[in-house]
Amino acid sequence: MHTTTHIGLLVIFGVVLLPVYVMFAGWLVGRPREYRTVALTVGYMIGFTVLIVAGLAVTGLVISLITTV
Amino acid sequence: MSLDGKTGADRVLQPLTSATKGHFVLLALLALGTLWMLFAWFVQLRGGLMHTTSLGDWGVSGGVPWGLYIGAFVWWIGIAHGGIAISAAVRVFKLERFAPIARIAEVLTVLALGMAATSIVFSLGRPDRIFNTIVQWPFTVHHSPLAWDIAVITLYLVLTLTYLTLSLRDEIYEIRDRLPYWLDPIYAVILIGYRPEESEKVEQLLWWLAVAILALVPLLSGGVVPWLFGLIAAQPGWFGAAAGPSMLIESLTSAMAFVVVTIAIFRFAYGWEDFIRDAIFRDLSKVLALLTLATLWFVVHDVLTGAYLAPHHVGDITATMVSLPFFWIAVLGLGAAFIYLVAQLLRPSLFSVGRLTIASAVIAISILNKKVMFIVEGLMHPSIPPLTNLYPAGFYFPNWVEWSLVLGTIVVVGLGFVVIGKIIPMVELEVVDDDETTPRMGDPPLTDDSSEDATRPDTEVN
Amino acid sequence: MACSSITYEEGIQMSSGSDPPRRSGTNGDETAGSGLEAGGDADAEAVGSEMPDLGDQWTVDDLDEDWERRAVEMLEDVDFDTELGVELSRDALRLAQGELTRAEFNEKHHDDVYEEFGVDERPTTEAGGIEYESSTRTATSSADGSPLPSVPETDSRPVPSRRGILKSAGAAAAVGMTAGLAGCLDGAAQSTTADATSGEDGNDVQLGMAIDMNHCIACLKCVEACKQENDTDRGTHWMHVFRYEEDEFGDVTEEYMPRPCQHCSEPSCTYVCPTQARHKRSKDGLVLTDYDTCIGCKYCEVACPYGVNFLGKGEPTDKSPGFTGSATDERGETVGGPPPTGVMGKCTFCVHRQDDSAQRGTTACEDDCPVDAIHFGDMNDPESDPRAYLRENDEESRFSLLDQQGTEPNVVYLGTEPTKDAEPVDGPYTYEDLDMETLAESQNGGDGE
Ligand code: SF4
Ligand code: SF4
Repeated sequence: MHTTTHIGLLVIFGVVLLPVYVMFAGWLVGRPREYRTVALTVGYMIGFTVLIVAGLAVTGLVISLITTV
Repeated sequence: MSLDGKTGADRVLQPLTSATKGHFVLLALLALGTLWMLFAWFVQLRGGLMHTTSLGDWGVSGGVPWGLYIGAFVWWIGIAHGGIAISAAVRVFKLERFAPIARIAEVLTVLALGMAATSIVFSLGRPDRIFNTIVQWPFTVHHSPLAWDIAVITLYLVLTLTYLTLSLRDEIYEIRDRLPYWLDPIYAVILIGYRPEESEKVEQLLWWLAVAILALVPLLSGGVVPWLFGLIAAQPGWFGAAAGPSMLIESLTSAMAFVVVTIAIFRFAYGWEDFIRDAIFRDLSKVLALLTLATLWFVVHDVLTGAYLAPHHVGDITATMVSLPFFWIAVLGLGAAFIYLVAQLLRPSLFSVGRLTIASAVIAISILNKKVMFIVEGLMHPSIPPLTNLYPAGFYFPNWVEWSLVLGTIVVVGLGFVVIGKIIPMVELEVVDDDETTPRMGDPPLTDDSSEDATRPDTEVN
Repeated sequence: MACSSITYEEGIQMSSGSDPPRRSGTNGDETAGSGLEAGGDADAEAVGSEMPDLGDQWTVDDLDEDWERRAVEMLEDVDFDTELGVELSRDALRLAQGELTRAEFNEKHHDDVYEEFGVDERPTTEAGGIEYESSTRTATSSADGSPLPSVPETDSRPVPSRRGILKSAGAAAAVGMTAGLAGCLDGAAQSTTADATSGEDGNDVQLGMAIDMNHCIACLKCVEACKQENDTDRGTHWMHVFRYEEDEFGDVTEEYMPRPCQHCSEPSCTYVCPTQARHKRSKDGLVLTDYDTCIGCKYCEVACPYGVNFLGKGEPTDKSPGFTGSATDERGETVGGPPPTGVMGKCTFCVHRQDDSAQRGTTACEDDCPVDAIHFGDMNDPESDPRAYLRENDEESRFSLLDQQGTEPNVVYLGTEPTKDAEPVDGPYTYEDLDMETLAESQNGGDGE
């Protein structure tokens, strides 16, 4: 439908995430080459993302209980 | 630099192990404020957004669909930057001077981002469906600026939380035996897979994290958030390319102001005058003066482009803006604060942390005011001619529910600080240790004497 | 039924003889669909002389206006409902090309054929076991044996029938004719089904309106009809009539402009929606809100330049007996009627009618307009009511509202666009007169500035 608006993909994955790509690159090639801690950090990041998303789901659930009681 | 034989670390750790009467009073007050907010929210959820707030539909109804909540959202996003930006700048640009306030600033970012998200939830007609935005995200990211915002805010929050956690690991590991045992699960999470030899790598990871976060600041507040409004051709009050830079500056200003207020309260509450020295406040006041000037400059710019041979409808918006008392309150607040900031720079005798805190609070609130104005004034004269004049001009003034919820978010941030201040050290121990030559293994006499009644500063925030 | 026995066929065979360049733009160019961009001064009628190539490149789009004109001529002789015939044929081709299954085809037209001819002997139950008989809304019952088109009664409110006069003779023949046509085209089309349909949605219906401001008398009947039909909230005006004065060098005239949702071809509301709740239905180009998904963020409202969105308030008025149509559309999405509290709503072009074969092609506002100012139909179909009306009045000036916004609205106004100095006035009737005052009026005690 929105053929002209795929700009969004570019905005998010091309521009906004650029610093994150650079960060990952820096982590991997940076001087103390140690992948265990990098993996751990990535694990934290995934964990936090899951937490935020789950938190949002729970928020919605709680609110729906309040609104429909 | 120890007072009564206590090391800096002892004093930083003291709030974690003991609580004063003042602490409980503050906690109770903040909890009451939070309860009030929850009550107002309950009223709104049960009664429906359109019935319990003064939001309305634009068009024939002459209402304003986005108001205080969205204004607060933009404001909190702005404040979120300041915190983490200061902390990241300390690491990337080696601004050791500001190191003592880095931790407080990081926590502020986490809390502020949370409040930004909460403000959005307040603004929804069906907040119970908030998860739909996540479910649909893969399909809406192509085109919806709101989907971009969700992505960037989540990213920002994840990066900040990771940053905070990584920077805590060494510290928590070292002092774990002195921390309250009943919070052990939290510390266990922070210390997952910890090995003392990771320190060097963590330092490197943190540096890159800081770089990424700094780069994200202009992308979020100068890009994705203003695009939320700027890309909407339907509302000429918002449409345009300049919104990005001006919003970024405003955000940084409010953030800096909020950081000043927060650290002043901490310093006052815990008597940390010796690590958070006056010099830090003086430096911050210079930055703040500069940013306030830039913000004022953008205001002048706005008014001028709107008043000088502007297209009819844009002129209308400017005319309304200038005719609203709120506009002048915002400008006056910024102006007065700016004058004070300059005066105390020229005449150091005028400087006091208390006055600076008040000026900062005024700036922060003025910018909230301005953000709300920006959103509302655009919607009061919505669309473009001929529809602008054919529809009734919009009317909006937030009611008690909206005020309660938005002021409530400030209270919740206060509560968050009080609670988090009981869990993690709010000043990096490394920093405090630099002032110390004595080893930390000294006796920890946990007395109450260094805490004061902490309720007063909180009233300033509101 | 053999192909050669159908006279109807000749129109097509005739046109296949001449071999002009195929009309470009039907497949690739998406904007070609709107057909009204020229502001109407060169109405699409002008391109009628071109004939489609009827080789095996045939697509539904090739049944263009010229083909249609011929088809109409012939069907007019046959003495059955012309529109139905054309629609049947069009769908027959789609059926042949595999865009429609036979079940869909039969279901879609069962009611029409029944209504038109009083009989439909085609099977209505397919392998899938779907009972079309039971699922169709039997509003048009001919059980009473009335020779006149039965007027569907929905909740004691008479809804005018879409059809003219019921013709009862030769029904079977006509039905067979169309089916035969489908069969004949089968062979020609089958080989190219894949490439003919892959490049497009397979359908380019775009419902829209032609609104004649010169006719409008601002009686506000459309606004009232909409409220009754869709049971919208107090103060919510899915249809609104602007009443304003234009002062041209001291020459003051009063003008009226009804304003539904424009069901834009490039709607800014769907663009910003963070949940895809606001979407454009591919079947007929309606811009709808999925009431089950919308989170009420109001972004669509803010992004639409026309001010047609209203968040649901759960405050029905006593103007309406309640919404009696189907809230669920054919795709199973909840899009019709008033939105639940906290969910965004706006004019749906009476989507429940468009999905109901008895009322398809009508809207409440169009039906109730006493001066026939509103003409509703497929803007891509040159024979549709609005397109025909625009053609008949081709000397009138016309405009699309806020055309420069790039939303490509599908409502075309006949008349003069209001200027930026238009001054709102009360008009001959006010909303208060009709008990439908806007919230601005009830709160601010006036129509603003
Ligand atoms: S008029 Fe507004 S709500 Fe309707 S389709 Fe166009 S942009 Fe969307
Ligand atoms: S209010 Fe509903 S339909 Fe409109 S943009 Fe938000 S989610 Fe989409």
